[in-house]
Amino acid sequence: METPPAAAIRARNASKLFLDGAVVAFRQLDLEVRTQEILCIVGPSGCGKTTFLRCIAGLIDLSAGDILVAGKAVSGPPDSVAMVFQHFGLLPWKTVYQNAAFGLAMAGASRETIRDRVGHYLDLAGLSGFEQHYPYQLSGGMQQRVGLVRALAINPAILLMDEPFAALDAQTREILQNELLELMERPDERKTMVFITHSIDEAILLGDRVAVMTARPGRLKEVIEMPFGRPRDPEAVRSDPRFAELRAHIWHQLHTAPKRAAKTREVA
Amino acid sequence: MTVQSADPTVTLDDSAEREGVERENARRAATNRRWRRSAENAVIRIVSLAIVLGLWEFFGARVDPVLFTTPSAIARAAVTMIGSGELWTYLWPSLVVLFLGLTTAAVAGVAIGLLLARFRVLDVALGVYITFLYSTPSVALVPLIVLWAGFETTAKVIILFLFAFFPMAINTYQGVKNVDPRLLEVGRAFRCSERQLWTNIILPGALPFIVTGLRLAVGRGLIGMVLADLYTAISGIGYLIVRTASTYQVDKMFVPIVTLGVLGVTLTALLRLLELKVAPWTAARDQD
Repeated sequence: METPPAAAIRARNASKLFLDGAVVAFRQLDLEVRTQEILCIVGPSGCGKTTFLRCIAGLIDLSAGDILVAGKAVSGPPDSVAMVFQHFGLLPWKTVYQNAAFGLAMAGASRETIRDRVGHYLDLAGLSGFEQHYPYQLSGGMQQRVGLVRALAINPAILLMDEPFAALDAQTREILQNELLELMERPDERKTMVFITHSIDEAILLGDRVAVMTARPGRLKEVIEMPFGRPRDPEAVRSDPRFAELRAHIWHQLHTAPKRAAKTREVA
Repeated sequence: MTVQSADPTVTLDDSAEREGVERENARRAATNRRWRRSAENAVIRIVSLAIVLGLWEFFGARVDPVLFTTPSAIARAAVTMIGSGELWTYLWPSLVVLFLGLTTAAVAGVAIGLLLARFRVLDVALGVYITFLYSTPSVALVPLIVLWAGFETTAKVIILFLFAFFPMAINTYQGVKNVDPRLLEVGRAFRCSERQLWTNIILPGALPFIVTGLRLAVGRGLIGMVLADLYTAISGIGYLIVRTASTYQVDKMFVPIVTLGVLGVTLTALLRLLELKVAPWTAARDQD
C-alpha cells in the first residue's frame, strides 16, 4: 500500500512486553529501514534493541503492532534474513567449514553450491586453511568471521547484526569493523543491514543512519543521517571533526534520557 | 561529562611475528609444566603403592592365613587360577551378563531419556515412576526379580539393567534439557526443521551427558553384576568370591576382587577416552 519497495523493514507501532506486561522491552516503535542501507541502533543495555532485532528475525513475537520484512508481516524467521550473534553461536561439534555451511545445508542447498559459496566467503574472510579446525581452536575474532560467513553464505537480502563485535577486544573489533565496511563496499555484497551496538563510535563509523534508543521503556529517540558517504575510510571518519560532534550529540541524547528528559528533548 | 574518544593506538605493527614466537614459547612452557607434573604424579603413585604393598606384605604375613593374606600369596593364587582357566570360567558368564545388561540399559535409557525430553506428555506421565525407581535402592528389587526370573542369566541381566538404566535415562534427559538455548536459537534463526534441530544441535549437544551417563551406568552395572552373582550364587565372578570365602581360601578370594577392580578402572578409563573423542571441546575447556 504505502511505499512498498523503499523500506526493507518497517516497524509500525511495535511493542514488546515481557512477564505479563511487567517489563517493557520497547513500546510503540516506528522505524523504517531502507533497502541497502546500514542502520545502526545504539543504546544502553536494557533498551530493548536486541529484543527488537529478534522480533525482526522472527525469533520472538511482538506484543502489539507489526513488523514488515520485504512487505510481509513477520511470523517466524523470514527467508531473506540472516543473523550474526554477539556470542558467535557456532556449533562446537562442527568444523569451521561445517559451521559456515550450516545455513545453506539447512536450506537443502546442493554440495556444489555449498562448496562454492562457503569457499568464496571463507576466502574473503581470510579463513582459508582453517576449514577443518573446530571453533574452540580459533580466536574470538576468527570465530566471529565464521559467524559472518555463515550468514553471508545464504545470500540474505537483510543482515541482522546483534552486537557482533561486543565480545571482542578493542583491536580485533576495529579490524573487523574495517573488514565489514570493506565488504559492504563491494557492489555484489550490498545488503540491508541492521546493526545493534552499544558503542557510539561503532554506530557512527558503520551506519548510513543511526537510531538512538533509550532505556526503560525502550523507545526511539532520534534517527540521525550520517554525513559520511561511501566508500568510507574508517581512519578519515574517525578523525573527521563531525565524528566528534556526532559522538557528543548522541552521547548527550543517551544520557539525558530518563532523568532530565522533561526539560529539553522529550520526543513523544 | 565528556567522554574521551577511543583513541586508536595502532602502534603494535611488528607484533604479529613476535606474538607468534611468544605464543610458541608459552605453549612449550605449558607442555613442559604438564609433562613434569604428570611425571611427578607417576612417581608419587609408585612410591605410595610400594609402601602400602610392603606394609601389607609385612603385617599380612603375621595374621592367620584363614582370615587374611599377603600380596605375594594373592599373586601366586592369581597365576594358578589364570593358568588353570578357573578365573576365566567364572569371569566369562559375568562379562556376558555385564555386556547384555549394559547394552540394553544404554539403548533403552537413551531412548526413554530422549522421548521424555521431547514429549511433554510422556515427561509428566512417566517422570514420577522414573524418579521413584531411581530413588529406590535397586537392591530392594533383587528378590522380586529372582522370584520372577529365577537364577539364570536372564535374571542377572534384568538386575544389571535395573542398576544401569536410570543413570542412562536421566543423563540423556538432562543432556537434552541442558542444550545451550542460544544454539537452539541459532538453529531457529537458520530455519532448521525439527528433525534438523535434533540431528544438528540437540543430539550432539547432549552427547557429553550421555557418555557421562554411560560411565555412571558402568559403575553401577558392575555393582549390579556382583550383587546378582552373590544373590543367585550359582555362577559368575561373584559366586567365585562366595565360594572361596566359604572355604577360607582368602588368597584365592582376593583374585576375583582385584579383577573386578581392574575391570572397573579399565572401563571407566575407556569411557573417559570416548568422552574426549566425542566432545573434544569440553576437554579443551577443562585444560585451560
